[in-house]
This record gives sequence, C-alpha cells and structure tokens, in this order.
Amino acid sequence: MATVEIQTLEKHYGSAHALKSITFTVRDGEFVVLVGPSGCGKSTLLRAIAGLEDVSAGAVRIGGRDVTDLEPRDRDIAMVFQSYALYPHMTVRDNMAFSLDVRRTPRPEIDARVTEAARILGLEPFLDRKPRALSGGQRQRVAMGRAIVRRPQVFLFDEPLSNLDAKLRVQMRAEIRGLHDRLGATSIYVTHDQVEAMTMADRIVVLEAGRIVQSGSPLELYGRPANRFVAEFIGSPSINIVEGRVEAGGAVALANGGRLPAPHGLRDGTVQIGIRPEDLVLDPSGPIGGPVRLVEHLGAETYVLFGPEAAPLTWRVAGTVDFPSGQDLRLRPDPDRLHVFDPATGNRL
Amino acid sequence: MSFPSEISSGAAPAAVPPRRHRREPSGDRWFRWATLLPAVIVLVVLTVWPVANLLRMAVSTIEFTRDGASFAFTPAENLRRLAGDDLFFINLRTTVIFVVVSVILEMVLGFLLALMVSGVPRGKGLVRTLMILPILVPPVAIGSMWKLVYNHDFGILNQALGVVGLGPVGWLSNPDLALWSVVLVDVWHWTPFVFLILFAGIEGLPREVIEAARVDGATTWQIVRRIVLPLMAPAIAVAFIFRAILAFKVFDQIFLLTSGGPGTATEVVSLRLYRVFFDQNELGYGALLSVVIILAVVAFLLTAGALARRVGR
Repeated sequence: MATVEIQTLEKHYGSAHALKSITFTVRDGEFVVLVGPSGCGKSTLLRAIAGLEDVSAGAVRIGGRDVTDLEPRDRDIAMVFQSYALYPHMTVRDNMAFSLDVRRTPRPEIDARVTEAARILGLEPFLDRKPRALSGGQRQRVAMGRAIVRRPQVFLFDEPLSNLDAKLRVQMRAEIRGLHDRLGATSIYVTHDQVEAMTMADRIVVLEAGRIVQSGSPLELYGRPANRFVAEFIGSPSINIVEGRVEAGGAVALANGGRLPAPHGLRDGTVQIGIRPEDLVLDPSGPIGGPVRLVEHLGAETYVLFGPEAAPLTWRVAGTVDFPSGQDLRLRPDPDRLHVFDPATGNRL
Repeated sequence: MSFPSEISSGAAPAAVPPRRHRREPSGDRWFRWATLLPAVIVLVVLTVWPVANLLRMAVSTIEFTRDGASFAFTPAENLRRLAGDDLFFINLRTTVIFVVVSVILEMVLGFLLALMVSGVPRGKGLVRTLMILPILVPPVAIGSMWKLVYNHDFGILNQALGVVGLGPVGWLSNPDLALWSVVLVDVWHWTPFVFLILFAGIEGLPREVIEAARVDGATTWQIVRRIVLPLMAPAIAVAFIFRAILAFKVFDQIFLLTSGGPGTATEVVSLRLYRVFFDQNELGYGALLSVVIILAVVAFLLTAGALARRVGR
C-alpha cells in the first residue's frame, strides 16, 4: 500500500473552475472519504487521482512516484464505480480475472486470486453468471472483487453504494470498511452521504465548490466544524442555526428575545449560533422555544420540529416523546456545545 | 392475532383452484382482428404474393402472346439450363468477391472512423454531417463523377500518376483492375453508412465500462478487442447485414461505370438478371436466377453469422 499526495491540483472545464488548489495527503492504509454536495468536485478529484481526468495544474503522487501524466493503467490503482461498470458480456469470473489477464499473469495465479476474492466476498456460487443475472448487491461485490484481485496500492471508490437500497447500503458499508481493515489498504472514497462518511472514514475531507473547506476525523468535523457549511453538512438532522447579537456583559441576545451565555472571546456584533439538535434540553425558562410544528417518531429517538413555521428548529430526543401540535416548548442549549459563526464569512468564531 | 393455518404452518395450499381464463368479449376479438387486417393485407399483397409468383415463374417458361402471358410448367428444363449456365456461376463468383471485399473494407474503415471520431473532443456533429454527404449523392451522379476520376486520358488519378512518371492506367478497361476500381467506388459510397451505424453504437457504450478497463490495465487495443467489439456486436451485425444485402443487389454504379465489362470482369448477378429479364425477355429463367440469388444471400449471411460466432467464442 502507499501514500497518496495531492498537491495544488487545479481543474478547469472552459471557464468553469472545478478544482481549486486542492492539497491533501492520504496516509498509508488510511480510509479517507471525500464528501460534499453535488457539483462540489469530489468525483472530478477522484477521477483526477485515477488518471481518468487530465488536470490543469498540480501533481498527484502515489507511493512517492509522480503519476500526474501517467495513464490509469500505470498508476497501480483499482476503482469501484457508481454503476459498478462490470463488463456485461463476461462472467463474474472473467470480470474479476480481466485485470490480471491483460497483464499476462499466469493462469494458475489468476485462478487462485479470483477464487480467494470470490471466497472473501461470498461470490463463489455466482462465478459463472453474467452480471445481468445478479442482484445490485451481488454486482457491487463483483466490482469489489475486481478491485481486490489486483492487489493495487490504492483503492478508489466513486459513490459505490448509491444504487443500493437503504438496508443493503448499511450492510455494504460495513463490508467495505471491514475489507479495508483486512487488506490494510489505502482507500479514497467519494460520497455525498454524510452518514457514509461519518461511519466509514478515518478522515473526512469536505469539499465545497471545488475547494477543501475542512479535513479531519468524523468526530472533529462534527464537534468543531470549521464553518457553517461543514456544520450544516455533517450531522443528521442538520444543525440548528439561530441569529443573535453579542452584548456587553457576556450574553448573546437572540432574535426571539431569549439570552444565551456568550462563549469566551466574542466581540460585540451579530453572530450565528449553531446548536446540534441533541444539545437541547427541556427547560420552562429556556431561551429558545416556540410552538410545536411536527413530531417525527423514529422508534429509538424522536425529532420535534418547533419555532417559526418558515424555518423550524429541531430537537432530537432519545426514546419516544409526544407533544400536541401548537404546544409551546421552551428549551435550553448546552452552553459548552454551542458553535458560533461569523454571519458574513460563515467561519467559526 | 392468528394467521390461517395453512399460511402459518408453511404448508402448500390443499387445493389450487383451476386457473380461469377470462373470456374475451366478441367485440374486442373482432376489433383486434379488424385492426390487424390492413397489415396482413399489405404483407400478403407486397411480400407473400410476389414471392409466390416468383416461385411460380421460376419453374415456368413464360411466353407473351396476344392473349397475354402464357405459363408452361418446365422446372426440369429451367434447372438443366441453370446447371449448364457457366456464365451465371462466374457472375455469382464475381458478386461474392465484390460483396466480401467491399463489405469487409467498409466495415473495417467504418469502425476505425467511428473509433477515431468518438475520441475527438469537439466537432463530432460536423464530422457526422460531412460523412452523410456521399450517401446523399444519387447513384447516377456517383457513376458520372467516378467515370471522370477513372478516365484514361484526363482522369485525376492518371494525371496524378503522370506527375510521378507513372501510368496511365486503364482503371475501368483493364480486366484485372476493373472489379477493384468498382469496389473502391462502393467503399467510398457506403463506408459513411457503416460509420454512422457504428458511431451511434460507440457513442451508446457505457463510458464507465471503458474507464474500468483503462483502470484495470488494458491497452487501447485490448479495450477495442475485448470490450468495445463484443459490446458493439449488435450494431456491427446490423451494419453488416444491411451492407451485405445491398452489396449483393448492387446494380446502378456498376452499370454506369462498366456495364459489367470489360468482358464479364465486373458483371455481377444483378446485371445478368437485368439482361435475362429485359434484353432476352426470359422471365421464367430470370425468376429462377433471382431465387438462386436470394438463396445465395441467405447462405452468405448464415455462413458469416456462424463465422462471427466462432470468432466471438
């Protein structure tokens, strides 16, 4: 396995600037997830690492070797595509053997590696089937098998679970992470699903409009988002944002008249306060509140939407609670877990 | 809450009621047949009846009298004449050579062009439009144009050869060259047709599958041979069948360029048919030759299909 170093990578499509000075390093054996909304450049970045996309400037190094101008076949990588990209006219066995076959690997070794990969992935009964005779989950496994028989330096995953149903997605993300740990692989995984990012990553790289906005462990990003975009993107349900003004005397006056203790070091002026839905507790004298708009029961927890109808806030409660619609709720945020953002730049204060 | 016993125990139902066929109202049945009838009539009038009539003609000697055409049932005589018709078998051989060479060249060139154009980042639409032009040119214009190109005294080919001190060459008058000259015109005329079909096929290939092959380590040649060609098989088959059938029926461009000559060097079966039908007025024998040509086309396509399957395996 190997480190992957991305240095000041730029990509232009005509006048569109898809990647803006992207720099980061994936350590040997690390599982890094590139996450961001549609169009943020995460798939373009992965394709640039794979060599499927030319870059306008910058460099890609794999295992210390500059591969920026090399063809994909010379980069020693394997990639799992969103559509699986299996060869439809070949059997599962031939799909998995293809990469070894084109490299003139001896037949006994090909057979041994394909058999081993099929055993790991539970594909042995399907080796002589064509992809069209497989379910979505089985196709996904074949795509994984095709990658692992190669024993590449780096695995690249381009939203491989987005075509699967919710239950299978949960199962497969555990399998992919388990496989990564077992192989000790260096993996770069692209997704727009922050739950996938949180559950699978050693480190998450968040992209917005072609730029890296934050990189860190899942809990770092959740606990100390660098800006409002990251705070809103990471976490489900999304973080609550309320407007306020820092007053002399160490308090933040909220727009609804309530007051919060101001975190240390804040200067006077307007701010945006981010409060995670689980960081609220019921308190009749709490500074935040409003009429109940909707109660969503998920069984193990309940989401209570309350406050202004146009932009309700969310309170996440463990277990099952019920409130009649319209009942006035008063809640108090945990003062140690507030996130304060500059309204002009969105940056954390 | 309890479930019915046969479901909770997982046992098969004791008795499956016989499947009932819904009786179709007679009005629906009549409507269905009535809407099919025009298509059936068109099929019978335009296909079944002409084929049946061709077969009837093929086993007859037809003479025209004041009372109209008279049919005499002479299958043995017609077949005996065919067996001794060496010229027809020479024509058939010429046709097969023409079809095999021109269609193979058109398929190879059309495929290579389609591959090249699909890799061009811009201007695909323009290339596609330009490629349609030779197909749009009327055969008469093609014949006249290429007759000028091949002209012994002032044709552009001989002029070009003259510049480098060669020629002149009798492109259409030399019996060893005439067939290849005619093949070249057919290739010029029909390669764009093959290109258009195969280009549409290539553009429709899943991009990620090709990219997966690139990541898997395949070279361009390996991708073409092991991924693109197998996935293109349906489009290739369509283009091949169309071209083979049309090439077997080639008439106008050869008629205009050489009229089958010199001698019988470029006389393909459709020219011979024309002569038998319209110069010699032998409709019965001409019909028999038509049936043989149809059988030859079918045999050719079946052989080509079997060969393609063997190569594919």
